[in-house]
Amino acid sequence: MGNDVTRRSFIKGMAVGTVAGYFASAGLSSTVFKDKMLVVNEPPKVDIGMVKSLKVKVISETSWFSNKVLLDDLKKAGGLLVNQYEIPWTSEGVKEGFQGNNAGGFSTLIDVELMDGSKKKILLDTGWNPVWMEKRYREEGIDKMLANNEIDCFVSSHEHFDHYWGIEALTKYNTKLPIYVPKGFYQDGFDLLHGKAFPKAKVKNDYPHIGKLTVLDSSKPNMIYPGVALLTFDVPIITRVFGEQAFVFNVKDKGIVLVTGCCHMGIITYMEYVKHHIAGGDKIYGVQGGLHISPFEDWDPQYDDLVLALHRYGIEKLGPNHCTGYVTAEKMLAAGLPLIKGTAKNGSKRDIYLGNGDELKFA
Amino acid sequence: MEEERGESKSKYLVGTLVGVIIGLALWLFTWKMLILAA
Repeated sequence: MGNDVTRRSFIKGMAVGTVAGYFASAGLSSTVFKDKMLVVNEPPKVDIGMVKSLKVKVISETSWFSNKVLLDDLKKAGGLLVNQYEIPWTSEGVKEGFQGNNAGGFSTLIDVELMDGSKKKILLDTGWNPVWMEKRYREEGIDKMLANNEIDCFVSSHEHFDHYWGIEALTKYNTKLPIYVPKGFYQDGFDLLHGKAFPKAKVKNDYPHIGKLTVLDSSKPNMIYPGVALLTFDVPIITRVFGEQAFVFNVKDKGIVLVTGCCHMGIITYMEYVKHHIAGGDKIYGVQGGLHISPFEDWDPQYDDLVLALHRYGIEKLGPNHCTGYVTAEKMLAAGLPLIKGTAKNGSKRDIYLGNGDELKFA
Repeated sequence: MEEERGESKSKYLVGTLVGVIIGLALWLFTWKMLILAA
């Protein structure tokens, strides 16, 4: 009888102890011992080196002249997922357009001085409408720079019509310029580079590229020069485009500067990648380029959170344009972000952010 | 009778202690499985 009672007591105690021990361990490991139990294995940060100075000049941020015409083209073609090379884009009769064509383009010239004193010029994107792009190239002297081999390389941020289809305006002056494209370029993009025409989309290239072409993947930051890296993001983008790349510079005495084309990967994704993978990425000094928040001047309450989240990164110079949208710029100003104003010339409609011909220095 | 009750209580406490150790081991096993699955 006595033995039965003590055995039962032992089993009862063990049952209670097991349940209590299990839940107490669970509780402690997720609170008091959280840091020991939840070890985050951060990958080692990549030191990209340093540059002395950086200057960015907006050649064209007016990708198209009428949002309504562009949206109508997309609707008529069947929506946002239709292959961009299959869309009959409006190229005539647009009142706000350039010579009636709705197509403009995005392109930026990057001037960088390396630590050894040598200077490099990089052309980021080459717009959409070759006639518009050539006009802007002439106005900014890019045509001569290309012809005189003063530009060191061309970087295509992604294959979108407004960033890449003006390739003819570039190859007309230099067919041998080294080119970097992100992994994800479709064969159509390579064919266009090498001279194929796409009549339905009204895009062609009469000056096939014969220089070095490098496809960059997303496995690691891709070094272009010391202090200059390209980050490639495997991101699906509307109108059947895949992959986008953007720059990271480490400017001496200033810190990390990001320069983007269109930022379809999302500005937060981009900055978080830099924060976790690039040495010095904890503090982002400057951001320039398209941030892809409200390209059609639409607004969603979640974008308010996005704008406020930019405060976390300690940005000192913010130079967005293009697909960032004017409404986003207004929100950024209201939120007290250090937005750099433009001059609203050469076709840019407002001075609320950097426009065509405007420069931004990080040095 | 009193002696029996005392012995039963001490066995209960020993059982609880053993149970806590088993509980801790079970949780660590669960945790490891969660980490491996993640």
